Parts: sequence; C-alpha cells; structure tokens
Amino acid sequence: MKKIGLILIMVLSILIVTGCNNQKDDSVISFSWWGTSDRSVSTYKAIELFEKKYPEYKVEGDFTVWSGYQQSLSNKLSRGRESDVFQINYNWVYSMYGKDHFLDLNELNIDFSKYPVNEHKPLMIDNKILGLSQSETGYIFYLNKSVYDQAGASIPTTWQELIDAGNKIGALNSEKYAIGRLDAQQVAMLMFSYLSQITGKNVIEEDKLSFTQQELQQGFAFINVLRNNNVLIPSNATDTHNDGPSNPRWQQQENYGGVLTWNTAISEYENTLPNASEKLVMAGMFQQEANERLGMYKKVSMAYAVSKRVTQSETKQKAVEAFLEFMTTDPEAVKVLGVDRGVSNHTVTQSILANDETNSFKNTLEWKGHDIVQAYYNAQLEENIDLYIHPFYEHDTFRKIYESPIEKFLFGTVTAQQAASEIISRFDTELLKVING
Amino acid sequence: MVGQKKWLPYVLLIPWFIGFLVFKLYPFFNSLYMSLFKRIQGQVKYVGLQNYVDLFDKNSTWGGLFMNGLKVTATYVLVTVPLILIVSLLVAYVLSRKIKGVGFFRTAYYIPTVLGANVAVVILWRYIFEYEGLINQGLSLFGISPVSWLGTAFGAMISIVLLRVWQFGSTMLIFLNALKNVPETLYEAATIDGASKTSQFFRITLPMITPIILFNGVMRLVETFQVFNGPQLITQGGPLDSTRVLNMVIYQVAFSGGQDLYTGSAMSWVLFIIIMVFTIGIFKSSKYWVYYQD
Amino acid sequence: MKTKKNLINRHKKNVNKTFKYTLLIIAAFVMLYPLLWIIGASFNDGPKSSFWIFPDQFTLEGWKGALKAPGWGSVEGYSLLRALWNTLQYVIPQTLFMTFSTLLTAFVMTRMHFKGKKLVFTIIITTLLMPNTIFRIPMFAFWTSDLMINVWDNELPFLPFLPLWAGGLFAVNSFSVFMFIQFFRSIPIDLDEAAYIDGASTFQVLWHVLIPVLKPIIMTVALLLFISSFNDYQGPLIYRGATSTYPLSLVLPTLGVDSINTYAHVYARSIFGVLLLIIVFFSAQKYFVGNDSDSAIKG
Repeated sequence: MKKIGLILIMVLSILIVTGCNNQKDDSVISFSWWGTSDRSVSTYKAIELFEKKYPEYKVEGDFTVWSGYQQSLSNKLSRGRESDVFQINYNWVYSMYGKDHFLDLNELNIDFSKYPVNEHKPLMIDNKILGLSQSETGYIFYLNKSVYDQAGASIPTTWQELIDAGNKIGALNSEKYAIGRLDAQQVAMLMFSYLSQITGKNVIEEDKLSFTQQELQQGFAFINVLRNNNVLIPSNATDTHNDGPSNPRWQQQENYGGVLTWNTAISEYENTLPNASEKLVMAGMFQQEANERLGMYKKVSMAYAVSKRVTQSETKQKAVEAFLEFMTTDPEAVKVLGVDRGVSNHTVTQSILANDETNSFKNTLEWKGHDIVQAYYNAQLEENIDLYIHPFYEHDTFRKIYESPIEKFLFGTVTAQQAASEIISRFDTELLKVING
Repeated sequence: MVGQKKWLPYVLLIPWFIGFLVFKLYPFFNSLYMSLFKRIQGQVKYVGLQNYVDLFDKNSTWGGLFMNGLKVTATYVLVTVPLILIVSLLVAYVLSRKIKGVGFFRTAYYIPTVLGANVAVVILWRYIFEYEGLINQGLSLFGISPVSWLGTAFGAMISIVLLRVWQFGSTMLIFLNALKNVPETLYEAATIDGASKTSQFFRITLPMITPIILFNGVMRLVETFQVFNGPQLITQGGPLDSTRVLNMVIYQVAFSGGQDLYTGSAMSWVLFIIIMVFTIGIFKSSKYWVYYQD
Repeated sequence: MKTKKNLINRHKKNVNKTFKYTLLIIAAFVMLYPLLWIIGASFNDGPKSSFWIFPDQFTLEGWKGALKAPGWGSVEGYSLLRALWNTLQYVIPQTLFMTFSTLLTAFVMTRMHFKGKKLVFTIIITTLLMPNTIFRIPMFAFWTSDLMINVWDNELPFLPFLPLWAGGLFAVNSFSVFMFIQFFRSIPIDLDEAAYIDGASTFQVLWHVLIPVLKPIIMTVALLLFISSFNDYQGPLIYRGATSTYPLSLVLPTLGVDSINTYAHVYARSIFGVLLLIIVFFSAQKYFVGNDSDSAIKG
C-alpha cells in the first residue's frame, strides 16, 4: 500500500512539474525535415553556423526518414504540435489543408521579390503563401555514358535517336538496355511527357484528364516501341527490384543505361553507381524532333512551411525570420547545404552557389538538370503550354488511378486499350473526390 | 482456496480491469463510433453504415482494394497457419526426445524470430527470390528456366509465406514447453506395452497437448490475419496488389496516404468480425478434439 | 539369436539417429544462415552480391563507424548506444510489468473461484481476437490529448516511452494471460491442495509451488514480450518525442546508403541492433534446461 502511495505521489509531482515547464523558450526554434543522413549532417552544420551567428537563438532539429514523415506531420498538425518550421512537399499545401493549418508567409518579413514572379503561385491558396519554396524540379533522364560508349551509340536528344541507341546497345548484349526498368510512376511521367509534346496539353487541365482514349493508347503503343527496341525491359516481371538505385543491374552490372527521375533526386543513383561522376550525364527530356523544347513538367520540389503559432510571439517570429533568411542567404550556410534540396531560384542563394569555386555546384547533375528544366519550361510558356504539375497529381490515393492500370500494362496483364479505358473511367471522378476532400 | 478471502480475487484483478477499461473497452467503442462518420469536404459527418457498404463496393475509393485485401489475407492465413503448426510441432517433438545439444538447436531455430523484420533480413530475402536471385540460380543448375518469383502473384505469396514459416521459433518454443509437461510415465507404459514411437506420438503426445495446439492455432490465426511487416517490406504489397494484405490497406487508408481514420476504423471492424467468426468456430469445434486435465 | 536381433535393431537406431541429426543440423543451418550472411556482409566493401557468407572485399569500415549515428541530433550524432538505451527504457518496463501482471491475472483466473469468472474469461478471449488497429487509433488520440501529452513528451528517464509500456502495468497482453491460463490448467490442482493442507497461504502457494513449476513458461513469456517489444517498429514511430529519445528502430532507418554511410555500415549497425536480443536469448537458455513438473507429481 505504501509503495503504491509513493508511486502515485511521484507521478503526480512529475505531472505538475512537466506541466508547468510546458512552455518552451520562444528563442528556441523547432525545425523538422526528412532525408538521408547526408542531408541531416549538412543541415545540422548549417544550424551550428546559425547558432554561432545568432547566439541568442537555438534551433532544435528533428530529422526522420521519408517513410512515416507525412503521417507524423499530419498527426502533429492535428494536435497543434508541429515544429515551428517544417519541410513539406509542394502538394501537401493542398492535401493537408494548408490554408487552415500553415502560416501565411506574407505575415513574415520575407523578401519574395528575390524569387521569380510565379514561383510561389502554386503554393498560394486564397492569396496566402503557404510554403517557402526551396527549389523547383523536373522529371528528366540521366544516362550512364559508359553503356552508350561501349555500343558506339551517341547520347540521344530525340526519341528516334534513343531507339537507335537502344538497338545498338541491345545488339552488343541483349541484356543491356538504353534505359532499363521503369516503374509505373516513371512510365506515367514518360508517357505524359511524350503525349504533351504531341498534343500540347497538360495531362490535367481544369481538374480533368485532358488526354483521350486514343491518345492514351498512342502513349502505350509508344511504350511498346521502347520495349521492342531495347530501350526498356520487355516486362517488369523479369526484374523485380523495386528500388532503382540499389538494383544490381544499375549499379553493378551496368546493364541499364539510364534513369528517369526528378533532377533533385539524382544523388540517390549517383551514390550507388561506382565512378558516377565520370559516367552519369544529364540528358533532359527526349524530343520528337531535334532542337525542340517540349514535354517538360516541373513543380516546386519542396518547401518550408511555418506553424501558425510563430506569429503569436514576437521573439519567436523574429527568430524564425532570422533563421529562414540565414538559411537562404548566409554564404557559409548556403554552401554547406549545397544542392541537396535542389537548386534554389532565390537570386542570392543561387549566386552564392554559382560562384562557389571549391564545390563547383554548377557542374553537379542537379544543377545541369535544373538549367534544362527551367529553360524548356520557359520555352513552352512562350508557346502557351503550361506543364506545371497539378497539385493533386501526386496525391497518394489519387495517383493509383493512373498508376495501377499502367503497372498492370507493364506486367503484361492488360492490353493498352484496357489500361487506357481503366484510367479514363475513374480519373475525373476520383480527382474531384480528393480535391473536394 | 482453503480459507481464501472472498475479496482477494477481485482486488488482484483490479490492474487487469483498469487495463480492460482504458486500453480495450474505450478504444473499442470509440473506433466503432468513428467508423460511422466520414469526412466530406473538410467536415466530419455522420454516415451510419455507409462506410461499411462502401467497403464492398468495387467502385468506391477503397472498395476494390479492400476486397482484394480480403482475398489476399484469407489465402495467406489458410496456407501459413497449418504450415507453422505442423513445422513447429514436428521440430519441437524431435527436440523434446532427448537430443544432444538441445540448447543449440533451440537457439538456432529461434534466431529467425529474433531477427524479425530486420533490414538485413529483408535485403537477404529479396535477394533469394529476385529474378536473378538465389532460387533461380539454383534452378538454372538443373536447367530449369528462371521463375519470376516476386513478379507473379503466386511467387510473391510464397516468398512471404516462407518468411513467416521460417520464423516458427515462438510457436516451437511453446510446443516444447507443452511437450515437456507430458509425463514420461505415459510413454514408458506405452513402450512396455509394445507401442511404436509413431503410434505413441499420435495416441499420447497429440491428445495431451491439444490445449496448446488450440492455443497456438488460435494465436497464429489471429496474428496472421494481421500480418504487416513481411508483405510491407519484402513485396510492398505487389506485384499488382497480389500481396496487399488487409493490415497494409488499413495502414494506407488510416495513416499514410489516405489519412482517413473513419474508413480505417470501419475496415478494422470488418477484420475484427472475420477473426471473431473464425475463432468462435475453432473454439466451438474444440469440444470435440481438445482434452483438458482439470 | 537375440544378439543378432539386438545388433540389427541397434544398427537401425543408429541410422535413424544419424538421419535425425543430419536433418536437424541442415535445418539449423537454414535458420542460422541469414544471420551469418549478414555478419559477412558487414565486413564486405560494397553491396553483397553473392550468397556465400564470406566477404568479397574485406573491410572494417562498417564496424569502425557502427556505433556512430551521424546526423542524429547534431553533425556528429549521438552514439547508437544511446539509441539502445532508449529502446531499453521501454522494453524493460514492458517486459517486467507485463509478465508479472499477466501471471497474476492468470493465477486468479485458474486458481480462485469468484462470481463472474466466466465473463472475465470470455472478455479475455474476445480481446485476444481484436485486431490492433481497432485500438491504435483511439489510443493515439488518448496519449496525444492535452491531458496526457505532457506526461511523456519530455526528456526524463523512462517516461518518454510511457505509451509503449504503460499497458504492461495492466495486463493488457491477452496473449500472455491466455498462455499462462493454459499452462496453469495443465498443472494438476493436487499440487495446490497439498500445499494448502500444509497450511500455506494463497501467495505462498503461488510463489513457492506454482511459479517454480512454471519457470520455463514464465521465461518464455518474458522472452517473447522482450522480443516483440524490441522489434516494435510502429509504436515508436507513432509516439515520437524529442529527437534525443529516439530508440534504435527510429535511428537505424535514417542511416541508409549515401555518401557517408556504406553498405558495410548499414549491415554492421543492423547487427548491433539485434545483438542485445541475441545475447538475452542465449542467456535465457539456462531456464529452459531441465524438466520440472513431472518430478513434482511423482511420488
């Protein structure tokens, strides 16, 4: 009995003590992000630099891996316990009801004039800017030059050249491919980029699927052409490695000549390929005809959102403003953070990175990808083609509507016609469902 | 029992009772309550049994995936549970009959369970089943062309079933304990009467441990209906959702992508009812084949 | 005549024995091989591409950096030993409390008479069958409510993990209760009666008579609880607190292959992650040796 009483008293006192200490110091900023430990180490280095420059502030970093981050953030948001500053994907502004939960960055002292005029438009709802863009990204090809060199094939710029290269590579060794294995997500982008080049339409326009049954079937037919010419593997059943970078056919056997990925994510493939710096080249998006610049989708890659509670305290608000400013414009910090989160479009950030001679960021694959994405996207705008990724295109539930039929097609269990009609039958209705919450 | 204070059992059960109220009863009804609601256009609205109806509607957001999950999970359970019981009982039996180095074997057979869903196990398992993996390498030695294990529904199912059966350690340990409790005297008497080892197994061992067979059977059934780690890590529910078990669907709906706790609760409830039905069935049948000491 | 038959029989026995042992050893090899493979991979430079245990290219890099977790909480990162201690701060209370509370509950259920026993038993069995997901969502709301969150979202010892071990105090693991019940029921009531006749109290019967007989199963239950608590990936993910309180299951996934961490590091760290489990398991072996309940009944 006595023991129980003692324990109860102990518990009660702890409750009281911790309850009182609930208020964290307003000069402490909490900041959460996801990524690899590479990113974490560099972010912590930048944080150390920040704390050195601003000894009156402290930053508590909270870093986790990608899987589980979204769920964790969602839970925290619903409890009002999110970090002061937290990393988000562009489309979460919509799917996580940013207009209700995230701070309108117009309330902070941020100089948006240093960003391109339209950069933050996709992050705006009701004229509130709900995320601070870190970089933009596009889905492009990177090739393993040595695979092409061995077969005497040159780096292609058009689809036809790609197909020719495929044939040359396959002639040398039927196990080798100009690209290799693409999963449903990647094939979707490939198809939609291809179709956008032909039709001039964005896959989603006015919240509806813009491609017709015929056009989709045309897209599938094109995939088959790629599969018949050693560009892509004939069936995804013969290679069941779901993770691209660790696939032995990419990193060890080098049977796969290329990847299709966000230009901000290329480091994953670089890390596993031996001597990647000598082999990997940026190949952009292949075109219908030489010298065209079409089929380039882009989006904000990731952004920093800020908690609404930040404006409730003047100290905290100043701290967060100083922190965001520092991470974007302090030369040391910017160099330490590098292009891991992509190439920022902020004029100051970008010029620091461009002028850094020791690291030569401009030569990184991310940067080269960034340049081509921006160039092509802008060229398209001049022809009134806007291929900005729709905010719900990558919604977890919705994306299955187009990825599932494509996956079945890649495994050979449905025909092009069936896949196309499956996509069409539910695309519009499901999209409307997720948009309306 | 002799001179037992009347209030003692009740007092001793207080912790359990608190646990039941707070950790079981409250969430139980809370989740049932939640399953009657739905978020429509940002507002949470009462929808009665609509969530449940939607689960069986192929054209609703989650209906197709849910029904597929039912099929996948049922297949997995019906194959895995008997396999685990048989394998672990046989091994436990062999180990219980005076083997030298019982400690070593017991440890060795238990290591897989200890490793659990360790990242290295996942990597290794995929390595075994991948297209250029170990099994196909072995097949090619016999001139058999490679099978796409992880690329077909059948092969992928086999890979996760085998993963679970490979981890038969806990079930085996429990059987070992049960086998130890079978009095040696019974075997001695039977041997004197001239009964063979096999007949002793079927006529002495099996009947004596039926309570534990029941226990293990029910536990494995309940547990395998909720399998998650294997399919999640090894096959990611693929290919083409052929190994996307119910628990993965619930996780996807409630926690990751979907963020829909209401449908998630409804799914949990359907799963619960299914498990209940199976278990009640087994318990009812136990009257005919389980033999208790007391 | 007899000797010849004996010889043949003994020969048969030997063949049987060899056969049996060979099977057992092959099976043990199959069980252990993955662990050996992983150990070999932790000494391998680069991804392990062959199935043989031995490394293609030997390196100690993985093990040199095995205890470090760069990027965890700072540039250098805390040591993995801290992560291990974090894990233990919920595994140990959970195991200890749960074993004791479920044992006690099972004892009451099988060795005492009281009104409502059948109802309690039905409740226990029913809770056994409920999928965890039913409890997960509301329990999460409970623990993260304003009332409870300050109790555990801090950096005190043991408390940050309260949601992961509080259940242990209240015998919520129906599996263990059920298992204890089944094993209690397989012990003849004569044992108890004998002790009562000798004047023992209820607790003395439990402590001096029943528990010694149940020792192996108690150790089994404790071990199973230890292992499942140690291997729980979802719990710590949901109840994440301050970065410094991350257990192994939250820290290890962050250390994937990139420019600082090689494959060898990944494998070495994953071995470290299970090392304690294996050690605990080996040490628990001595409780399984020996045969108990017979000797108590004989005579």
